[in-house]
Amino acid sequence: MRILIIEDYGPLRLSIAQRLKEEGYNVDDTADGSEGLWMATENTYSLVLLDLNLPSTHGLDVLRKLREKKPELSVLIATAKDAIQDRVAGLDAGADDYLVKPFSLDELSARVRALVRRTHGQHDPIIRVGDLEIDTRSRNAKRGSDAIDLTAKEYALLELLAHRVGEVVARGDIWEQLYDFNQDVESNVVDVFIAYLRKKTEAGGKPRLIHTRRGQGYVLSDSN
Amino acid sequence: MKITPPRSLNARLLLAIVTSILVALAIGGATIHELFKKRLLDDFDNSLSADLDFHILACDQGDGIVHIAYDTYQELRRQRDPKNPVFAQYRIANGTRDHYRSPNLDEHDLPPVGLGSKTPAYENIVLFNGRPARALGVMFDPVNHDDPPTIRMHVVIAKDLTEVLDYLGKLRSLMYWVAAGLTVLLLVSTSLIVRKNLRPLKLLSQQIGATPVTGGASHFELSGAPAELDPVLERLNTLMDRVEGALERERQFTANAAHELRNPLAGMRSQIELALGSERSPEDYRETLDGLYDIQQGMERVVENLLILARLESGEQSAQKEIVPLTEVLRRGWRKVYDVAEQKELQVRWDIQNPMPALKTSRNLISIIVRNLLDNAVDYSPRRGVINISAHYDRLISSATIRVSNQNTTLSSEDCERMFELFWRGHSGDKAHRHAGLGLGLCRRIVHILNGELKARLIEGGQIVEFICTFPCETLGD
Repeated sequence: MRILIIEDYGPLRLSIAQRLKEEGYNVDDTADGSEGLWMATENTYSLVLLDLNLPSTHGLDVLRKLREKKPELSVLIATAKDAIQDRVAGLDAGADDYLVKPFSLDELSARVRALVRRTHGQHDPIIRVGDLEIDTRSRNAKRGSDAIDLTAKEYALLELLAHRVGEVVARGDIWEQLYDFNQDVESNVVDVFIAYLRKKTEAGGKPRLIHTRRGQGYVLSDSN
Repeated sequence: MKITPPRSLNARLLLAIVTSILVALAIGGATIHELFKKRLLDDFDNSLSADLDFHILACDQGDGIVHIAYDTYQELRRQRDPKNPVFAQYRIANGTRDHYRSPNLDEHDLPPVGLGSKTPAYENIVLFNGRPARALGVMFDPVNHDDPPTIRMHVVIAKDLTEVLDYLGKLRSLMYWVAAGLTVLLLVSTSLIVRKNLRPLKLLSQQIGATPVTGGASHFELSGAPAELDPVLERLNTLMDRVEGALERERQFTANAAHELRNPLAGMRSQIELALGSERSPEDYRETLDGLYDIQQGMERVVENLLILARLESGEQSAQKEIVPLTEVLRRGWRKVYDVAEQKELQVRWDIQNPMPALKTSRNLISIIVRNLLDNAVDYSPRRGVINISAHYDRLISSATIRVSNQNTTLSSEDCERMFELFWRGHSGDKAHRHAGLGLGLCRRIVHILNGELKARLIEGGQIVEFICTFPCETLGD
């Protein structure tokens, strides 16, 4: 899952980015509204976290332009503006949620998860694929009664596949959602992580859930 | 004893009007009364004079004897008229000896009015019966049939004045009643008029009382109000506009200030939560603490600037004159930003007038300006940039000028004016967290207090931004 943070206050932006990265999200960030608009337009994000009082371009202008180009993209406004008219203006401009500073990172994290679920049409925080259960609140997974020990990246990959269960997810999409601009990674990193996931989810001889579609990508499904 | 006028405008108007009416009525009434009185007394005196002529003509002398012969019966009757009697008394031997008195005097005498005088003399007297009367007397020579005449006579006549005085008394009473009636009538009508005309004021006070001070454009309207209230209403509405503007500015300022404090608070909270969220290395904790220290420094500066602004707005921060060594103030200002400048490997070029005279101005205010200008220059300079600092004093116009310039990376010429707006942060990206957009606005307000000017301009094709601060001041030698 790839998230864009547009926030001009450096310490806050870096803290949020670090927290989301620790939760396995792929995070890009910028302090500038115009640059943020360009990044959101040119790349595929699951969510944009947007401040309103931005240098160069105001957050609401960024949001309106973004809505014209990407109406389906989830946007969470995180701002110090707490007046009712500011909240109304933000939500009316197309924001999916509104969070007032200072906020708890736990709350931010929960809202991010909820918006990501909603983006994929998933309302239940627990995603079930056969006997595989993925709890998006606690970021844990288990098969049957056996818990699966996953790293943040592995969990993010599994959740990405689970949100699009039954659909083929291209390698490029997986790579884009899992890695940001600043990371240098090997070109076969997706295949490597899929191999790790398969090993952990199929432990004890359990049937395969992650299937390869040659030349297309991967699909999570409890049937072949 | 000091008389305090009533506080009510209604009562004041009534008091003024009633006092004016009473004075006017008193003067008018007294004048009318005196005119009437004079006319009546003149008529009375004329009548008395005619009577005197009659009594003089009634006398003649012959053979050493004075004869008094009233030729009409009516005169005798008139003398005896109980309503308007005429009293007469003749004296002979130059008035020393009684000759004749009218029967209605009984045995009483009239005072010898005009005795020894050839012109008639009037006098107010009291008759024997105690009633007021007017007397006229004169010395005369009765018509003489002898030659030479021998007898000189004195005659005095008097008429009862009671009827005239009663008439004047009735006139006075009538005037009193008319004055009292007019006063009451005017009081009532004035009171009604005043109340009616003051009603718009009451409505206005109700409107003012019902107007919230929390905002929203409020304008007062008074239909049917006297034209005299129009300017009051106009000024009041203008005042309301100004109050609304001030409230809006204050709201905006408070919202911006809250915003500027919420950002660092959010930053502190997120960094603390992140550090506490899981086990970290000592280096991570140190990094978190460094970050928190940076945030605290930023907050301290925001709070300090907000306090100075509040003092400036309330007039507490005044330009108290003292001896200011400008060179030292600039050096001290630079010392505070030295560490950051060194980290960024900035080069500073000084151009300070030598010798720079000691200025008579506010050290505190100049220090705030210098600190903010240098802080800005260091923060917004690119790495390995150059900062120019100059200061000069012009004795011809008694004015000091401080110039601070640095390389420009983001500003446009339009920004050179906008950057003095409070909370304006330009296009500075994530460097903005160190600046809340208060410093330059604060500096301009301070320079205005010093009757000076602070402006910014782009030079060398927009490559350099230069701040020029000019303020009038005297020097120690002046």
